Amino acid sequence: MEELTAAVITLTLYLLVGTIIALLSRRVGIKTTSDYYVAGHRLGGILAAISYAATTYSAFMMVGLVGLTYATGVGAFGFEITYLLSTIFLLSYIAPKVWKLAKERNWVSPAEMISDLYGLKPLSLIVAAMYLLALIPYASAQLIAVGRMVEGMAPGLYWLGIVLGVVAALIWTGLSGMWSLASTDLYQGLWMILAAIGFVVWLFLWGGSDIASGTAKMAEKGLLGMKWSPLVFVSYSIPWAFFAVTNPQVVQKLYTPKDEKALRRLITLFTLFGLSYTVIVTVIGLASRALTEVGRLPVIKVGDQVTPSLLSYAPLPLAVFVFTSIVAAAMTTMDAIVLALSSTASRDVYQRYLGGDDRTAINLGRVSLLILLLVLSYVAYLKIGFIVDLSVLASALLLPLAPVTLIGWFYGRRSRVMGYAAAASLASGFLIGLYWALVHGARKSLTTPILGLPPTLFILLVSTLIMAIPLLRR
Amino acid sequence: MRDKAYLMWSMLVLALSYTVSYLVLRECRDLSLYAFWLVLTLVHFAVTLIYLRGNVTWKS
Repeated sequence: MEELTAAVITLTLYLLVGTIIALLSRRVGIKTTSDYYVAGHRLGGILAAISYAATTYSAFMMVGLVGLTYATGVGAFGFEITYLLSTIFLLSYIAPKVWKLAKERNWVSPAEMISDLYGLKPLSLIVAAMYLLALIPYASAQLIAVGRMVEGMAPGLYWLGIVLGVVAALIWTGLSGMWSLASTDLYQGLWMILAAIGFVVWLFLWGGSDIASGTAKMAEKGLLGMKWSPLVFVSYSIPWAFFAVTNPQVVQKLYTPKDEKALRRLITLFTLFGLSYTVIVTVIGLASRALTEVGRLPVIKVGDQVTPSLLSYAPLPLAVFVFTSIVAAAMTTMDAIVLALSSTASRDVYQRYLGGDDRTAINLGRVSLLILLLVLSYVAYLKIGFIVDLSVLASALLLPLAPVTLIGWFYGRRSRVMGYAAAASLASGFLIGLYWALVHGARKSLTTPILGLPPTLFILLVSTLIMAIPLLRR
Repeated sequence: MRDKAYLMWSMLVLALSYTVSYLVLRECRDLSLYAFWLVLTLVHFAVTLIYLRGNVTWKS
């Protein structure tokens, strides 16, 4: 009973503060789709940075990555840090160019960006279809995480978690688009990092010297070395290495900073947030395993259960605070995905094909947000097992966007041949990924080689080669 | 020139991230591999800060 009361109070407080922040953000005038979806390219550095970080780091971190580190050791840290190393480079090297182009050409949706770079209108529809197919399972998995966290705090109330998640997402993104999204992201991002710090500090105080003795035992089992096979490591890390250019929810964030200083701050603060969060999360995973090695914790066979098991030993206020931070991590990712998908509906379909005005496009965007959230809630409510599996595939399915986007940013000449090559590259890469997933199952498809190569590397090579042909002919 | 140097540096960092973990620290029995990735990221971040501060493309 005490747990339930604490959970209800914390969740209510979390939702209330978020809603007040979203309501306050309404004061910013919204007149155009650019204002609504990319904050009129007027976001400050701190807001843009934490929003970028909170969108990137989903519930996977505190649930999935803790479990992965627990099961496979230090290699899991390498998998996540490879993402960060690559993203630091991509943001620093490319973001200034993208940000400048976005302002000049008034890009609002990432699908619109691709079709504009190649001067081929239907490309935006192909990209939009890829986003929908790849990201609906990923966003549904976030909503499932919200439901499970609420269920963990208040047993039997999974459905309430889904309802609260959908209503909060609708208010927090629907009200003022990117403005309310970024403001609530800042609040939730701070909640995430503070909870993570509290969690790791408590864990070390609680575990004490047992963590050191357990770490020595882990060394004997090779968990401090590289347990991941090269095939699995390469296959898992490649989609994440290109995450910053393939996922619309983060690409769209690059359009938002108000000036170069804000963009630079985005990169710097995001890196600090990302590194701190990754270190904390993996240290929690390693320390938990060390505690299992010395018998302080039972052996946990399901990776996703490591954090909940650990929190059952934590003081109640901390446990509820951390559980809510996982809800926040899931919410920030889901909110950004639905806003990015909604921008495709109102901008790429309505405005570009039907020439509609801004006011109607924004309202249509809000309606599409509602429809998307209803679809997600239905999928999440059914708790279909393969949805979570498919969400793992999301970044692999979006991987063909990496060469298409990068070549577009650097060599975009708006030639028809390049446009057709981009369409062929996207379609073939996506279909290879989908076919492999249908044949081997979503999870296994990432670790079953294609012609001896890691599957994601194969997809990347095929898509890049198709894009390279017209470039070489030139 | 500056852009090219940063590009080369980043490629080197990524290559090191993959290769050192398998060729040098695969069987390590202490936290060297963890420390290697952490230090690599910190150094990459420091180099990136220098690049960001002096990059002319930011001003163009």
